Amino acid sequence: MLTKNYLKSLNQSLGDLTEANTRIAVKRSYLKISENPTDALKAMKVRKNLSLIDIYTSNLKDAQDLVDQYETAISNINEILKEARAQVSQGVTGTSDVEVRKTVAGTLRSFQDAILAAVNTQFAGDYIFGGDSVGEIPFTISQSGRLLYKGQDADNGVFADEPRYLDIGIGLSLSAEGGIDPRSALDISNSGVALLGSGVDSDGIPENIYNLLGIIASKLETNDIDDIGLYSDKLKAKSDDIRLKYVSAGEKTNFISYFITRLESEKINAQNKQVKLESIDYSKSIVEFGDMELAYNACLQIGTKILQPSLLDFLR
Amino acid sequence: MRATFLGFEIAKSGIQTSQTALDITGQNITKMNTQGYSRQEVSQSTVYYEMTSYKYALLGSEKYGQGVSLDSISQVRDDFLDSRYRTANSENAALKKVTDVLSYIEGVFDETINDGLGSFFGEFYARLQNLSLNSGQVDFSGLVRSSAQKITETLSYYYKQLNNIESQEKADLNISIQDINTVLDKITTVNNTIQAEKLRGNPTNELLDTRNLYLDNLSKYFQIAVKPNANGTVSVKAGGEYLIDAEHAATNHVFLTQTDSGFSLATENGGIITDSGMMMGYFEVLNGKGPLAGEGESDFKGIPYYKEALDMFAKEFSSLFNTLNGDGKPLFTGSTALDIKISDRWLADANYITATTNPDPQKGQNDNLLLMLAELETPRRISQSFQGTFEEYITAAAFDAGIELDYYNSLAKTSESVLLTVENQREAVKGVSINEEAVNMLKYQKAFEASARIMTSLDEMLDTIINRMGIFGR
Repeated sequence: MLTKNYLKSLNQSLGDLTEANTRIAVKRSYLKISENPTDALKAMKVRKNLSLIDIYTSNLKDAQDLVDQYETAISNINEILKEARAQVSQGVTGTSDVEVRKTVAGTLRSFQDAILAAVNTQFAGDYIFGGDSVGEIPFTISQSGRLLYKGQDADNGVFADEPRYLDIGIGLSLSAEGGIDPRSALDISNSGVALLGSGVDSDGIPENIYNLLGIIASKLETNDIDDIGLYSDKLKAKSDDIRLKYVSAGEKTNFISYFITRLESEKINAQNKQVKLESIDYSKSIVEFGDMELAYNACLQIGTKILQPSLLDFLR
Repeated sequence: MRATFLGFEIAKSGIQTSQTALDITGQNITKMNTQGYSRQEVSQSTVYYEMTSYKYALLGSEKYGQGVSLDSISQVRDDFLDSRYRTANSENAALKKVTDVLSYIEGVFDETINDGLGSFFGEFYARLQNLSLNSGQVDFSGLVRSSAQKITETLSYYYKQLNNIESQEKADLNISIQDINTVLDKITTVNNTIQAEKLRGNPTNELLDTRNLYLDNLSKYFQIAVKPNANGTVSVKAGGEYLIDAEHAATNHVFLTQTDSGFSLATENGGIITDSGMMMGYFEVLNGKGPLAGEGESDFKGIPYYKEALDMFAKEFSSLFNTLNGDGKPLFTGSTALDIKISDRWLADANYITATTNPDPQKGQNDNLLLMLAELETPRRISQSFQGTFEEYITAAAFDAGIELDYYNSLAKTSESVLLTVENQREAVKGVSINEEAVNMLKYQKAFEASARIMTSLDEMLDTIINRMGIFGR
């Protein structure tokens, strides 16, 4: 009976020792859910949270790259328009002669090309101003020299919203109509036609910058500058508009980097929590291991005493 | 007057009794470590003086006892402790079986250290996110597809592992039933021998030990009730049915029956209710449907529960994605954990996954992918008893096994220590103590010496009477 009990405790002690050893070896406070269900469940949630943070951070960084590109392109267009306005005002002054006007017109034509190049910018193989479809070149020029956005004339085409959403962890959900709720995701689409403008105003002046510059250039070329004031006012209004968009692109960058910073600090918190839940406290574990070792050795030593001599050994 | 040779009989009875007692001491010491052996004891009593049995009555003299009589050699055993031991044994065996199987199940689902369904699902989600930014690009949709493939393969791998555990347990169950029937036969044989030997007046102590050992063995399978009969045999009942009805010389073998609600045990006379023992453990893990159990079925979360959980997941997951991907464009085929697979069309073209609901899809359009992501994060009713996201469902299944195992582990620990206590108590009664036997050895040896000395002194006394009396003046 004594021997049986002894063997049982000896095995138990050895088992404890091995377990303490394994925990230190794998640096984990538990190896199976059943060892500590509460902590394991908490750790599982933290782990899921961490992987979401990683996903959202990666999405936001991709979005930031896009916005950076967008910002550069708008900044270019903004500069071009500034220059264009200076040129136009030079061209429309009464003192300028026909030659000067023709030169100005030529400059404006080259600005048109520069704007076209800017809005057809590619980033990682995608046309960033393509709205929701980034695979095909968004802007082309028609036979008559007018701007076409995805094949539609910018002056009289019908352009729908082209959202392209990215999940950045603000509660992606469906709207009542079944699509994605716009407030629950980040819209990363940049419609070129929305940037450059579309349609014509009540005076028949195009809202589109490219076409506007084209018309101003032709008017200067043909020296038809009686009503050019209307057009140069329009140009001013449109270039103000672009500057505004440039500023708001900066806002978007700020918003994204704020989000990234927030996620990074969330990540640090989650990682700390994970370490607390899953990892072992080395000093504590090693002391525990020492305890187990001591207990096992003591157990072994007792063994020699447990199988003690009986009365028989003392009889003559 | 006192009979001349009266004292010799008394001394002889002392010598013989001491000799026998010494033999029994030897027997106890040699069998000290024999499994199932219970200590034997010699009971002695005084031989009364009886007037009528003596031809020459002791008239006019003092009357006293006529030495010692060896009444019986009996076992030291406590029936109550036997029955407590058997109850504790069957409880412990049930919990041991349950914890064994639960730890296998936990091994299937647990991904504390390894990657499993949960991490593949997380990967699928992350890659879908990546695709939403790079929709229509075949390398990104290829990654989504390979994650989806991991999910389907893991589902069927888990299911197969559960099947393996199940078939292993079924095989073990059949072996156990064979063992039960063998033990029943052995008990019946010993019963018969005991009855016969008892009639012949032979000792049966060793046979009783053997039978008790068999009964202990049987008690780990289910709770047994042992009823001793007058002829020395015992009858054994389990779960309301006689397994051995010794009074009517009937041995009822047990066999497995199977109904819709699972396996159970029966004899020819009827079903056995197994509410304890290893058999209960087997039936819990093989029949347990958890919360899906119907009336009268086991609501233990056993293998069928986890298999059903995987099937439900496979069914909901494939039907959701097949619907989301558009009419007649299934991403998955099959609707059980075992047969769910990536559809051939998706296998042939990674971009088969619908990125946009636009009938003329353009590169970059991702509304349908966002829809899929949103649906993955939307709680839904996946099984009768579960409402939540797919990811939560996987976690819940793994934790079901972990939490149950934790619970049953602590129960098993308690029952083990109960069993140990009872076993120690029983051993304290029936076991051989070497010190006690050494003392007995001394005692009986001295008693033998003393009785022999009496014989010598009687001899001397008679010598005095016969040879030295009445020789005065010779």
